[in-house]
Amino acid sequence: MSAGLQISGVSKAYGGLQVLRDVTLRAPAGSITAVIGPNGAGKSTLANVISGFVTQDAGTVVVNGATLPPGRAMTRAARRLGRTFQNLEVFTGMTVLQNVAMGAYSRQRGGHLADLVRGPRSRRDEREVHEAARALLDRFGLEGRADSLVESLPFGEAKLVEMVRVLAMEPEVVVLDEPAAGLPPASALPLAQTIAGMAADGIGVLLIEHNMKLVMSISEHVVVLDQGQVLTEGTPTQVQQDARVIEAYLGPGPMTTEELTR
Amino acid sequence: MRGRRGASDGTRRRRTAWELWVTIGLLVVLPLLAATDYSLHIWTRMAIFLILLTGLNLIQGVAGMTSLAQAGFFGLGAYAAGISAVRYDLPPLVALVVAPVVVTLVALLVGVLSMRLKEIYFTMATLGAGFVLFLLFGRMVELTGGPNGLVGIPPFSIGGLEFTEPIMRYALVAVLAALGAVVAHNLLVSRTGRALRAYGASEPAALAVGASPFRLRLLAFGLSGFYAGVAGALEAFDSRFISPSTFDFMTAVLLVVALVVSGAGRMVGPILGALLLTGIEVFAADYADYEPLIMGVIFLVAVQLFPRGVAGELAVRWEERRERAQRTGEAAGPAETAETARTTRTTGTDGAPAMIEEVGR
Repeated sequence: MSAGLQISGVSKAYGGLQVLRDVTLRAPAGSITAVIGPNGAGKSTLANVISGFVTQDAGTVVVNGATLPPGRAMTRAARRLGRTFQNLEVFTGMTVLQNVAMGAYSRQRGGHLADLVRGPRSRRDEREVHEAARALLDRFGLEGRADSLVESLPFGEAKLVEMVRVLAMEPEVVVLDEPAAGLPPASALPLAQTIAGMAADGIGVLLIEHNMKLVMSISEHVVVLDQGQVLTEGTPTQVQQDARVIEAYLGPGPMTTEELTR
Repeated sequence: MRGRRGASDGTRRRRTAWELWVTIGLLVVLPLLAATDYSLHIWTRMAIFLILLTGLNLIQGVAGMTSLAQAGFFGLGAYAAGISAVRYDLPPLVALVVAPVVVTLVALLVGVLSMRLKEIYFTMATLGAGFVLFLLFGRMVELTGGPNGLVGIPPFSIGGLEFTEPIMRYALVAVLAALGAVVAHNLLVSRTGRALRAYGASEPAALAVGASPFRLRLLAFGLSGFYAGVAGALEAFDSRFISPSTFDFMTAVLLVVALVVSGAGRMVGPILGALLLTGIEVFAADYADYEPLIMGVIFLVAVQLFPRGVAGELAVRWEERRERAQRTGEAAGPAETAETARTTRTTGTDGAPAMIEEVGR
């Protein structure tokens, strides 16, 4: 089994509403695979199935050859699968450094009872986690923010903290749920660089995104979801020229590619 | 790298450590201020409250789950120790170990049954547990002495040494209270404490990084039971008489209120809460019927003035002042390096939210 994320035959219905229908796709290590689609296409449900927040009715989610237990979000970190959330999810009341350190939670092996006495191992563990977290903050220009409460940060920085927290997991697969949502257009470029950096580090990135410019500029492979099904997939160029994609997004009618990607 | 670490992760950790030192410092200093037999008795009560509240703070303050079982657990600890000593002739030292073990097991049982519930239902479950325990204290007459209480509890002793002198009784409780504070501090600054807090802030994100809410909260609740067990045993050996009324619903509520008013989740909250409870007990001795009234008024006023608790509010104000000082320091600082320039820009000097464009480079 190849490295990265492999989703096979995933279906999910809420009552009579079929949200996902036999979805199969791959997000190989070291590359960016995008999932696009109009509102209600099932993108968020797909992210939730992969990360275990929603139990699928059928199908499997496999990371590096290991099948992940359905509907068990807690197990994902140990499998090195990280995710960000469409609506910012950070640990308010905690500093930026503590937020990032939380990312390393599942990598720390010490027992909870050992923390009560804070023995040498517990201390060393903590020191290593904090040093790694600090290095990540340095890398993303957040070093000056380490001790600020995360809720005191501007929205864009808080979103970046969320992404850095995922990197602190040392993930092999990352699911980004609408990372550009709520950010001004000017932020798209640095965001694209951050995401591209993840893939360059060998992470398999599954990018679920509305912003077509972002998707088309950095993805190697684009999967189009419509009404819970894979409508088509291919390179960004192939997808942009696919008449069905244009129709799914904009309804039938003459539309140039340029208008679509605007 | 090293120097910077000391200056930054340290700030928060040191601040918590400072709160720990205040707690231990007060335990040492208070009896020096007034060391009459009566005042030592009062300080002993205070230290017992401190142990109770330190335990409650783990589940209520850190994990954010309101527990109304702490008075019942307190009573269970007292009865477990008292019954061990009176009915089974176990040495007090053994009873002091038995009590927290019994209470921890009961807390874990209650926790396993109720920890998966939403917070409000968890609170109701703990209320139920507290009621059941309270009823048992009164009904199991042969074991507990019923409403008349359990009499004839011996003083605490190790070997042949009896802890009858007020100063020794205080020292015993104070040492255990200090130890309890150290352990709670360790938990708070460790990965476990961080994860417990994280759960209160964002459940999805905490799940996504692999923290188990059930296990963490169960641990916090079990620990709160352990502390209550120790406090209960100490109460039994200090008062040498226990009766159900000490561990009723009112006590459970008072403990929660005292902690919230003082600063739930802060390391210094429990000692402030313990001082408050002791103060009220002493003050209200002459107006016993008005104790709930006094507490009620304090609570009403405090939640208006200090929504985060006295300790929480002071800490936040201090932090704000520090941040302001830092900002003015930055502005007045010497030649900007590229590093600081970037940092200030991401802060948004003009007040507009600076976005990540400065950062990804």
